[in-house]
Amino acid sequence: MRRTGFVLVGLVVAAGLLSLLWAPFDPARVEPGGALLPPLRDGHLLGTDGLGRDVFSQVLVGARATLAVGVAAVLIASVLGVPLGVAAGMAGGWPSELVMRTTDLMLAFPALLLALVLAAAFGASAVTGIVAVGISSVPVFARVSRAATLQVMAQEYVTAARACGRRAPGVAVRHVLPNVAPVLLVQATVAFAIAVTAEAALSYLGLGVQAPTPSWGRMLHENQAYLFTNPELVCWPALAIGLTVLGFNLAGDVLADRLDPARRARP
Amino acid sequence: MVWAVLRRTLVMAVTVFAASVVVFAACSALPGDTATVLLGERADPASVAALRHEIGTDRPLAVQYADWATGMLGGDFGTSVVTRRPVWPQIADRLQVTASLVVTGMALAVLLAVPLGVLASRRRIGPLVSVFGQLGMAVPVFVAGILLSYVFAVRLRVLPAGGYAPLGDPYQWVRHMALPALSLGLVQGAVLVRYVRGEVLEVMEKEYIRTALATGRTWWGALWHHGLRNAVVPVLTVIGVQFVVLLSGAVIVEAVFTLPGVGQMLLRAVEGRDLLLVQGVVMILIALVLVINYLVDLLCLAVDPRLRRPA
Repeated sequence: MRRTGFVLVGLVVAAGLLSLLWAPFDPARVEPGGALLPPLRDGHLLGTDGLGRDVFSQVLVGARATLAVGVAAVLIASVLGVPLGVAAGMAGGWPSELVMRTTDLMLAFPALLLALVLAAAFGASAVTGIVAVGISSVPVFARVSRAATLQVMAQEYVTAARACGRRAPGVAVRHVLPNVAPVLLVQATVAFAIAVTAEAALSYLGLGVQAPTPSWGRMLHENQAYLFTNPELVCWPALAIGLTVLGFNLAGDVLADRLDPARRARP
Repeated sequence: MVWAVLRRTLVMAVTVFAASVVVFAACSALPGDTATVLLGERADPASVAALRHEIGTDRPLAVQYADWATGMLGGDFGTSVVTRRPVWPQIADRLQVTASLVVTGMALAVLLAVPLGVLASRRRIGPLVSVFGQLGMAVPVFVAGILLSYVFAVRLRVLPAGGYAPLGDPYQWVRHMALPALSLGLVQGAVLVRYVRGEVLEVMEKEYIRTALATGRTWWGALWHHGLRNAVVPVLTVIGVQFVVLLSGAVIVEAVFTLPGVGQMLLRAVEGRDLLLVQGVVMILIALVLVINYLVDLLCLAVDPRLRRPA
């Protein structure tokens, strides 16, 4: 039970990696003659969609877009958010207050609106989606690392390091970051789950990964048209999204429990 | 009390102002000059300049901002250059649809989460509720929408799979609103239920509850008279924070059920590169988020007198 999350995450990563080497069909190949085939017909494991594209290959290759967006968004969020949070936590006073108020403001901007503004200016693409999801995760990373930094700064070894003459950047790199890292790992797992949902939503609305690159969100949008005749077409991308998010959430829970003994005791 | 309300009002006003500057700056800094977009890349520079002058984008940014911001205070969000129609009336029509969706969705979520969360802290259905919570976090709201429309519209054929009926026809309104609101409410409720349960568990371990139980109150009596008031403030705060999520959820649910709300208009405005319309709608939605959080703050003040003391 504890391992479920890691197994699911592993499966998605494996699917993404496998799709780089092999997929049963070209997921973008349209074949009007072979549209809406049921599962297991003509070598199509999950059948074909309304344009005759192989559903299994689309789900497999779609894992790539999901993982890429998740990794990119978490990277953007941590590269911008962590230094901000650590600096605010170490400096205290008005810089800390400024960071907190700025993140307050940023939290009022939903990722979706940011993605819409970017898409209105640049045209919708995977990049605008990634930037929007990444930027909107910045405040959370900033806040979490600020809170963790405050805890570390209250420790005696930090006082000792300072008394020995280590300057602030040295303290940040040698003492704060290593101690903040585990909390950030948990946060990254949760942020990844959120990024997967956000990517799916953006692609569903046509604001994310563009055709012909397969993505689970767009598959949902395209296959929704066949809800009355071929409902199973919607199931596969929905399952893929749900299990991926569930996997990252469960993995995050387990990591959080490992890190925080107080949480383990709670019922 | 007056001081606490004033302070929060001031913070809210400053934040709305800051948000308007950010929205304006973001929309102005982005490439895609409206005049060039309308006339095309190869238009002759003189006519581009003329159009810029006509729509006012040749003025200094500060003047443009002041114009936009003061206009908004009077309910004038400018005139879309793409559709040549004023922005506000287009938004006002659709805000009704989105508002009904958000309000009914939130109401369903609370109606679902509060009793379930309380029950889960009492009876041995805790694991069941945490499964519900995990599901709610794993299933994005638009997936929930598609699944619900499959069950109720395709299989059972009891509810329409999309479209909207105005409030004037209550029966049809309920029928069209049921599935979208349920998708939002289920997912939000699943998030909330964890907080309600956790909060009730925590409050019921407090000493004043022990005392109440010792004086002969039942568990439910103690919860009703002493517990709820203390448990409600953190839950209210979560509801306020979750409002952002609910609003984005509503935009997506509108797409699933083809509801003619603000979200659908936003998407069309993005397709048409109608930046002024996007700017106006985004501003309204963000102001809405900030105002709702402000109201939640006030509600917390009303419930918990301890918060009224100056910090």
